[in-house]
Amino acid sequence: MSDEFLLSALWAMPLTGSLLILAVPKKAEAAVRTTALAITVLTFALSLLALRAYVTEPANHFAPIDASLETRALSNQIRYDSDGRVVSSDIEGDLVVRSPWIPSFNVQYYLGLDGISLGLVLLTGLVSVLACLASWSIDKHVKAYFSLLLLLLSSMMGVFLALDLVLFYIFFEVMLLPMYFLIGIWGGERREYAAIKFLLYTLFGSVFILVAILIAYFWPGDVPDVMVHDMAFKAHSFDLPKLQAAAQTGYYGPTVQRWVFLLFLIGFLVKLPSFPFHTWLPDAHVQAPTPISMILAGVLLKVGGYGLVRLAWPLAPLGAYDLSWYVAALGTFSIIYGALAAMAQTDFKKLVAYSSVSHMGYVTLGMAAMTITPDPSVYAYGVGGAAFMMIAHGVTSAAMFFLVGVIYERAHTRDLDKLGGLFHVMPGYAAVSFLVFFGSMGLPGLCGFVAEVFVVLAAFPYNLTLAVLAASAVVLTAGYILWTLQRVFLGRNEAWRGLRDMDAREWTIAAPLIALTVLLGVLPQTLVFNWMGPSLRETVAKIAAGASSGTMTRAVAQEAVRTDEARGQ
Amino acid sequence: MPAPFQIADFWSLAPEGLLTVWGLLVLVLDFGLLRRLEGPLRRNILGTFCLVGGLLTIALLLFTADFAERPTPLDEIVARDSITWWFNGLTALLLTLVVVLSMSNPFTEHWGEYYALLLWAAVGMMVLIAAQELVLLFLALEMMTICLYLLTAFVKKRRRSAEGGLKYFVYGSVSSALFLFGLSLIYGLTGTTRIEAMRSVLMEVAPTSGLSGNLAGAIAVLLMLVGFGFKVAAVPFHQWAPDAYEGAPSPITAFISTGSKVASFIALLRLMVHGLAPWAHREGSLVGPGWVGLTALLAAASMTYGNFAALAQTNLKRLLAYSSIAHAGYLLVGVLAASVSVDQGYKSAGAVLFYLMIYAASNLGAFALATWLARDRGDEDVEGLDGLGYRSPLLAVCVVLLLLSLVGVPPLAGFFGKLSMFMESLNTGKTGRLTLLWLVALALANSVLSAFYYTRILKAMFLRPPPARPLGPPNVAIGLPIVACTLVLVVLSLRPSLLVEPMTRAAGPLIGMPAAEGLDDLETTLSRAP
Repeated sequence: MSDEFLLSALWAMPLTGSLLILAVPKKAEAAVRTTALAITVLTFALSLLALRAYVTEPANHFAPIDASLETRALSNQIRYDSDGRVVSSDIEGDLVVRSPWIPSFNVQYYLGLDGISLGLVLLTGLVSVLACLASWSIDKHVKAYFSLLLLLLSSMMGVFLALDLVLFYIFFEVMLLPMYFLIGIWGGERREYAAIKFLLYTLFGSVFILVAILIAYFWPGDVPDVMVHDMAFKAHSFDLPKLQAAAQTGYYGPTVQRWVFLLFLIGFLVKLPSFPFHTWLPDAHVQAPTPISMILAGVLLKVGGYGLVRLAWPLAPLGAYDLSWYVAALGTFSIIYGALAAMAQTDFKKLVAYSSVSHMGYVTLGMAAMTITPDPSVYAYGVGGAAFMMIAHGVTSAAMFFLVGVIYERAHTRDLDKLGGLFHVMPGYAAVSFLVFFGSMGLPGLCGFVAEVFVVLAAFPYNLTLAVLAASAVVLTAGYILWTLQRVFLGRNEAWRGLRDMDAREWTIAAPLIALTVLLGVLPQTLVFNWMGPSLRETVAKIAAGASSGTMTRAVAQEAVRTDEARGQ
Repeated sequence: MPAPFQIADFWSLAPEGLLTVWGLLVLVLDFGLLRRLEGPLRRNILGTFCLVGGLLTIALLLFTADFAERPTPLDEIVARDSITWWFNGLTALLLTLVVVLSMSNPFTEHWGEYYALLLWAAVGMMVLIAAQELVLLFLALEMMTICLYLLTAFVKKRRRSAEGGLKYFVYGSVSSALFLFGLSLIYGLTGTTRIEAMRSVLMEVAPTSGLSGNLAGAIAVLLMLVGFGFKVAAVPFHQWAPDAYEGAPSPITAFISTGSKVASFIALLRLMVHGLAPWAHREGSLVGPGWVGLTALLAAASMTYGNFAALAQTNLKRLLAYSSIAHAGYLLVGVLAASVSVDQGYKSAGAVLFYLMIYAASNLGAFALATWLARDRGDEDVEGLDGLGYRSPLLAVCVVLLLLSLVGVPPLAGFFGKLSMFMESLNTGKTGRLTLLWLVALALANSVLSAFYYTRILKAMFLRPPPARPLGPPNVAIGLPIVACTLVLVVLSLRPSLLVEPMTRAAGPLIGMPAAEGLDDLETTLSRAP
């Protein structure tokens, strides 16, 4: 299978499915559901194929794991013949696809996969299948619901695949609308408020991203005659790997990098979300139907984290380095704030939502703990932890929201004070919940632990205070999670006698998530870091090179000023 | 000594001529053959007749696509460049859709006069688009607006209509007077009424100094800006717009907010950006003596005020009126960029033209929705749209796309319109970049703000149950414009280059720069090199 087809099908398949569903007759609700499920399963299968093409030999002959995305991207150039027609643009099988799309704006149809994006593509594929299964009980406007769900899936895939900044932005924005309608039509009582709040927050965030992209596109360069890929670099490119390479050269000076970084940061922190831009999240989660909460927490939040890893840091490494302390402090604060806020909730779903804020704080902290001198390998722990946290949290939070949905469907309440004693009524459900919540808490041997350990490890050499604070937040996390489990499951409560335990469909949804919670905790190296590692190291090397070259340029400049002054005297 | 006119030279005015004659034919038909017919039948016959006229005009334009065979003396007065061709085509298309839209709703009985005025308003727009000479420009402006004043006040049963018409008339005629005064001053200062000649005179006198020390010139420019400000409804000259938009029959509102605005913007580009370019600003400073600084203020005020005011509206037509004020603000940013830019002005102007096309398509579709409301409910409250998404899903989805395009959500054409305009604004060289960056940031923030009120329409259509008096089923006259506009948008969303490139090329002569070369972007040039 050619990689052009594979990468395009990853986003085009759900899109086609979304239109296909509209053609199914309205009465045939079962057919609609089955079609949607089939499309999500196929998409997930495609993402597994992509994993195979990336990981297994000899299938990955053209895209071995340690061939950096930048090199692969560089070998795919659009070539024209003398009449200006496109001759070739693509090398088969290297998991990078490039062809012209809107030449007048220099926008390309440009997709690519590396370890970091692949992990999230797999996560998206899996969570979508499970969310689709969890949507079986939706009975209002079934066609529209599944059509929007698939549209959402298509745009999420696109975000992780895009290597052209405008293409990225387009997919990023397309996500908003299906989400708006999915919350606004199928949500709880205050759905209109939650939907519009979600839409406006994210739109505002995306304006910051767009401005940052435009600055990166137009900046005329602070250093003359920069060479990128053995060519004189001029701006006016949306080519992400190329711009990343330019950012390492000092083409973007310290001031503009700070601006670009800040703009990207704000934009993606809204999505992540981090304090102080997180207030849309609890509302959106509480109002959204269960499957949508699963997607929102499992995948959509990761778009923010992915933006940080892919855009904010590599495009403005020096700016990131200059501001890293503040960002790290913000991340730490988010961890603690989210945990404390979660502790104060009585709504089960809101509690899980705030726990997401807390966990996403680790992503911010991991990225911001920039210990690049003398050895960036410590920083690699932080980035690795952040990337792993995205996957681990994607698994556990999707599972947690699903579990909340299961109990809400039966008890019709999410009030923690009313629940209780479920251990005796629904033992299977209780067992799953304990495992998943422990995984989220970071119990050693389960997936959350790996991520937290890496991030905290990276934070220690960076800043002791922040590291100690972040590490001790684990106690707070344990506090709210154990207390929640106690309030929901322990004790006796006659009111819930006779509730059904989980049925076969629910077990099917829970099983992969349980398995991953355990496996990712036990075998992180085999399952993830083996193929994600090279890409992580590449990213870290880029960021470190950008940050240190910038600091060196600055040192040289200061030295020059000093010599000038000395001469003047 | 210019060569004398030949009859063949007037061939370039054939579309305008055809529509003028067609308007007369409509009147003859109405008073003659159809005198005894009543209501809908008479309307439909006349409407179909006008439709044929509009389609014939489009056919004529397609037939005369090779516009530049031979220069004629007329060219100095009426342009025959590609911009004229494209925008005459747009006007004819808009006219056709407005004619179709008018057949949906029995708001008057005097269909002959109505359609004739509509055709003549379109003639005014077409001449305005092509005018290369100030007197003709003024006449075209008057022809267009006088027809529109009358059409605005056409619903006799509604007091709002008369009020809106009067308001439009009073504001419009005062602004015309000021505009005329400005023209006379410019004639006095340059000794010519031809835009091209004006440019060369000014280029000799004051190539770089802007307007510093030139009081008469400053007053002239100010007066012209006031005039244009009224026509394109820019803050603070916008007061007529919400009332006129609300009072006028919905098809006419659609025509005012698209056709008249588009034509005025083309005239603005020709006169200010091309003719008065030397007066734009002093070299090296954006905010200085020159009309550019003032326009920046107008742009900022229009988009901010327009959007904030739209937030509070419950009437769909008023809401769209304020949103079109905001769009005038965005467009002025593009106009600024075109005049500030050192060597890429044609690209910015091309972006403005592209945006105008997309704006026209999106807005016309949105006003078709307002027509639907007016037909079935008599008012245009947004609440009337409740639950529409479940009663007419196809049209509702089309409306969603149109509105999102107005917000500028990717991947819809409106996004590419905004993107190209704002990108070119930032691409203007050192002189204006910082000011324009702030303007662009403001415009983007405003786009988000606009999402708030556009989503109110989406919310009504999809998130609410149908009201007690829901909208009836749509007829062809309403469905066709919505679907047609959406189709155009979807095609342009998938392939923006289809229109971006012709527009950039068309803008070349407008800005007075060679556009045929240099279109290819850097990337292409680089990769084509061996």
